[in-house]
Amino acid sequence: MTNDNGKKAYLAAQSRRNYFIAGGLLVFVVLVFFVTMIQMGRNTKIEKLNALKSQAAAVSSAAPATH
Amino acid sequence: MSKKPAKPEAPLDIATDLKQAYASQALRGSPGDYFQLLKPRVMSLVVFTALTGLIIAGKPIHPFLAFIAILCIALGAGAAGALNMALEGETDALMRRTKLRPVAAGRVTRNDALTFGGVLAFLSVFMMWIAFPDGLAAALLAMTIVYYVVLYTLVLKRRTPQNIVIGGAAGAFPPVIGWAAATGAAPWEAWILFAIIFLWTPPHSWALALYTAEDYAKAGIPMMPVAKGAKSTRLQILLYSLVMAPVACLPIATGLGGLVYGFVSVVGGAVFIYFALRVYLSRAGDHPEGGENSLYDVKKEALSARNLFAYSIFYLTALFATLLVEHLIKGVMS
Repeated sequence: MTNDNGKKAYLAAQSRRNYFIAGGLLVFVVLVFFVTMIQMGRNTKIEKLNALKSQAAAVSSAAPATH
Repeated sequence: MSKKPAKPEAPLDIATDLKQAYASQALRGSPGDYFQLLKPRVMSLVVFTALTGLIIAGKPIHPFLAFIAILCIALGAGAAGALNMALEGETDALMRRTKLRPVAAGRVTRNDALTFGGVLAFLSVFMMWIAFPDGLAAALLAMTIVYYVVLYTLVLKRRTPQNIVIGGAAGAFPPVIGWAAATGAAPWEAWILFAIIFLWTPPHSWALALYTAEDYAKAGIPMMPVAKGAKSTRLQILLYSLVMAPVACLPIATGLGGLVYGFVSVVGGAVFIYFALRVYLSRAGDHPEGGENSLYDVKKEALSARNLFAYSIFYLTALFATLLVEHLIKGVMS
């Protein structure tokens, strides 16, 4: 194999590898994005639930005691 | 007499180094080679057992997060496999069974494999931690990778015939990690699944080692048949099988497994013990082959070991598949 052919093959292999690495990083970023969205959605639901619970607790403590 | 002046060091000949690099096949690892680094067959078993742990844990989990958990466990297992191949390249090149692996055959350099495995390990643990912020699943995954790479590959493999007993625990963690991802906890029911795989690994691995011992001996790995002899190995296979079979029935007592699992574990365990007994009574391993096709072309005396090896794969798959299917059916019916 001549040096030029070798160089071309090497650069082609390196380029392929770089595309795979870039693709892998992109997939990773996309997965992190979706996981973050799901966790944010969950946290929002939990916050709403906690807010409702504290409202209910406040209402029940403010209600006058009956004899 | 005057000293001759020292010759100045030749400048770094980048052109020559690059010429050698261009010609080197080692720089042209294909995507398929990098995929082979992950040990896909081991990865498939890991994924299956982890999925079982995740689903039979019983807690509902967002489907995408479940997918992330399984992906992270698969990548973590693959990373451990890649690091193992990177560190064992020279040893793998000595064994017929492993000489065609990417690092052993020179298609991927050791450093590339180390980097690939290291980055994959980090990303899988990091992603697991993001998806399951309580941290237990991520910690267990990180521990499993370190356990396999450091404890098994670097420390135990060349030092003790108990290498596969202690190191095999790495393969038993995935169902616990799956369970931890689903629930944020690792209760003792999850550790029963761990125990089943932990006790299954020695008879499974030693059955293979009985008829490939020559390969291990050449590479200097003290597998049980090499270090203690075939007779001792056959006895230990039987003993481990006798302990494993009842442990595999424990899910019935805990309610994790139902009637069908009870049947599969009792009958399957009895058959396992039968195969182990046949190995014990045979002369398997007395004249190990270690040939090119020793997995398929064994001597008659080693057939019992080959049969036990093949059955052990079926047995474990059947156990976990039954647990999974039972749980899914229960979920559908309720």
